[in-house]
Amino acid sequence: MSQRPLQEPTFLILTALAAGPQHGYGIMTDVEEISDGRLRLRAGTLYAALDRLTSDGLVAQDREEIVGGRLRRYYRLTPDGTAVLAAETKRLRANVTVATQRLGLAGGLS
Amino acid sequence: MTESWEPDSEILVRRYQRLLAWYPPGHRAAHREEMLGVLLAAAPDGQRRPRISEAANLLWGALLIWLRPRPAEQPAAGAWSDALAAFSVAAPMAFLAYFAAETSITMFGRYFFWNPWILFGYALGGLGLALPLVLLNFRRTGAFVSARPVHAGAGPS
Repeated sequence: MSQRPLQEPTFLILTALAAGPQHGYGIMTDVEEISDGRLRLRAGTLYAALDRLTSDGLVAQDREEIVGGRLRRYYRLTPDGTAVLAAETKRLRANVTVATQRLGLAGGLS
Repeated sequence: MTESWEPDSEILVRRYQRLLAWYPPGHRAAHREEMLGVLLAAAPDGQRRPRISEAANLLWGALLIWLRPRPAEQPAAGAWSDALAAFSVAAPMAFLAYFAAETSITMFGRYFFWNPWILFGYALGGLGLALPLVLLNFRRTGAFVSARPVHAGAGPS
């Protein structure tokens, strides 16, 4: 599968969903945690990304629930989404391996 | 404050709803309540109005969703351009109106929209700022729409 590299917010949204379905706010907090606080998704960015990922078939809507009178909708990774995330992870790992070797950090030093 | 009788959360809900009204009707029908829940969950206690950056981000998100061609419901080219043209006029105006309201409440502690002279000033200032943006948008979105290939199952980016 040939694909363009994923932008970091997209990569992290897919990563957040890789462990299981999550609702919008859950994705936002998880992405912040995964990126060690570096990337804070805003609602406008998140829902534009979810709209695109859903129409591309990488993410699908899962269950809904009402919490505190507000609708929560969960999203999950589709098999295509899992494949794209796996391919991107492999690509990034290959790059990191080469960079690590050329920097002489193969001993695990950073 | 003119609205002090209302609980903070209701004022904030109303202001978020005004911003969410800029999303395409289909997206709004499917996601408005859900997005409202996310926005409220992310808002700190006691927040009465969306931050400027958050409002801008919501409008930007609305624009991205408006601009995305949908394989299942491809509108006719004319309808698509019309929707874009309307949005490219309305969005900067709405943002300027919102910015004017924020500035007014930050500087004077209240909204000044009731005063016809100040309203007139906002309208003039808004038009002056929005016009170049609108003209630019017409040119860019026109070129963008006609040049962009429409394809189902586009790769992720």
